[in-house]
Amino acid sequence: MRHATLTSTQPEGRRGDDAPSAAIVAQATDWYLKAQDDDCPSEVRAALQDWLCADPMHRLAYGRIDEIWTRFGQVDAQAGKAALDTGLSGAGRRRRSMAGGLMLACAVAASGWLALQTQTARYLLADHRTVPGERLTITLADRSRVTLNTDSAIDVRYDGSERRIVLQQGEILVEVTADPQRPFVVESRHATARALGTQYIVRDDAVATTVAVIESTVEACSRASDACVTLGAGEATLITRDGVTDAEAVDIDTLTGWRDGVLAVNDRPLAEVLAELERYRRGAFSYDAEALRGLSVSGVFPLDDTDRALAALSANLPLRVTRFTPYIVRIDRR
Amino acid sequence: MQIEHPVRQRLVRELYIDHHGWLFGWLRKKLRCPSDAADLAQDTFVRVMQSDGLAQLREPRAFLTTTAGRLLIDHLRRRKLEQSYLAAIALHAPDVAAPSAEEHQAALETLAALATMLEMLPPKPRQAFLMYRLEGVPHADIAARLGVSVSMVKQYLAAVLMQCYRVLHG
Repeated sequence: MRHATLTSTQPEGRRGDDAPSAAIVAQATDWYLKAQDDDCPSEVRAALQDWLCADPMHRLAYGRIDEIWTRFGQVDAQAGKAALDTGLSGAGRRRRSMAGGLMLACAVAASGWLALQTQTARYLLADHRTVPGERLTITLADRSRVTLNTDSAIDVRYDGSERRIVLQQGEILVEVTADPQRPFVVESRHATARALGTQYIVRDDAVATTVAVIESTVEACSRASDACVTLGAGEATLITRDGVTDAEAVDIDTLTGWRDGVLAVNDRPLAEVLAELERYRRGAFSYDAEALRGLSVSGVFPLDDTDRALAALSANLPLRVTRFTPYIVRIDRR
Repeated sequence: MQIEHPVRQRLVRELYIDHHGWLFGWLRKKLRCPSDAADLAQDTFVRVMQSDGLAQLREPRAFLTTTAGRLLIDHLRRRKLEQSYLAAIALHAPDVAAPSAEEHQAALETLAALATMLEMLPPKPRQAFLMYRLEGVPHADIAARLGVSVSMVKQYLAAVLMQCYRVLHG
């Protein structure tokens, strides 16, 4: 096998016998962590030097661990921890649900990275989608119409016995043509909302689904239990994994404002209004909700130009708006 | 070093001619950003070129959308990671002078690499490591916050470093 010696010109560390064994990597890791400790006694440091000198594989493994350690120092420590912590746990960003009289403040449940990926895939593979800031009205085969609000996605499943819309994420307003033979059903993660012919809104906020009726009646049910509530015009319910709230009167004009591209609010906390405007942006607002406590907002704001809405807010409230990138806007109290 | 087989080259070329336009359209619809879609279409064919079983390919479209779909999810995930990093910077250090575009890009590249190293780890070891390495929290405090023993924290730290090593060096 004379050729063997002629072809051994691969770079070091590439061949199997040139790589540190798993046992050496484990030892190198232990040594490295011991050496990180400021109280590490000098005799341990001396022993480490001996270990490093004993075998080039020891030095290679130790050097690689050191490279890994160093890389973690190359990002902003606080922001890096926040991004890697929330990003990888899929906790997502906090989002408040705001639907007329039904106010809900809760963090999006930690759903795991895998669930986040699945959700992303559902959104991307849906029949119809909108990006943040977009609205879209679709006329279906039976002349029923579905209007998708910002950052929403639906699948359309019509068959001979049922007209079903699967709301994968976001918010829709449906205007259903009457068909006594084929009920119309909107399905979200938490709820189903069934009608024969009517207008209503279904909004999925990851932790809860809001169903609000504009016209006629809708039966809204929890998917987790068999609990249902029948809603008349001007009524809404909130459906979570735990159940269904009673029908509650809501201001339909406020709830349907987005269809006309406006957000109308009357005496609501600023942080809540910012969270709502944020839904319509590609980037994020950064603010400390505690610091903004006590500032309340009334008015009508354009959803198609949230920068203009923000300018209107800062003109009337003691706010300082700082733009870091087009995607990151910091809002502080002045 | 892998030698490019002529048959393989021909297969990839045919696949590219038949499907690139369609795949670009598919990605463009998903992303609504033509330049990102063009990059991802290119990356998809690079992946396809490296994959085995090209000769046995029966349903090229399904194969291409699966490959492109994975890249798409990575792309979106990365964008999310970058956004939360930028948001956290804005929140923690609103008065710090903005870094240069190059520094910024380098930090985001590193962030993506770190996420790749950490993503397979369970939450506790990952949190322990991030607290220790990025915030300098002492072992005992990490143990208290996570509700585990100090020796468990030490095991976590070692496990994370070894996992990072495996991701980078096999």
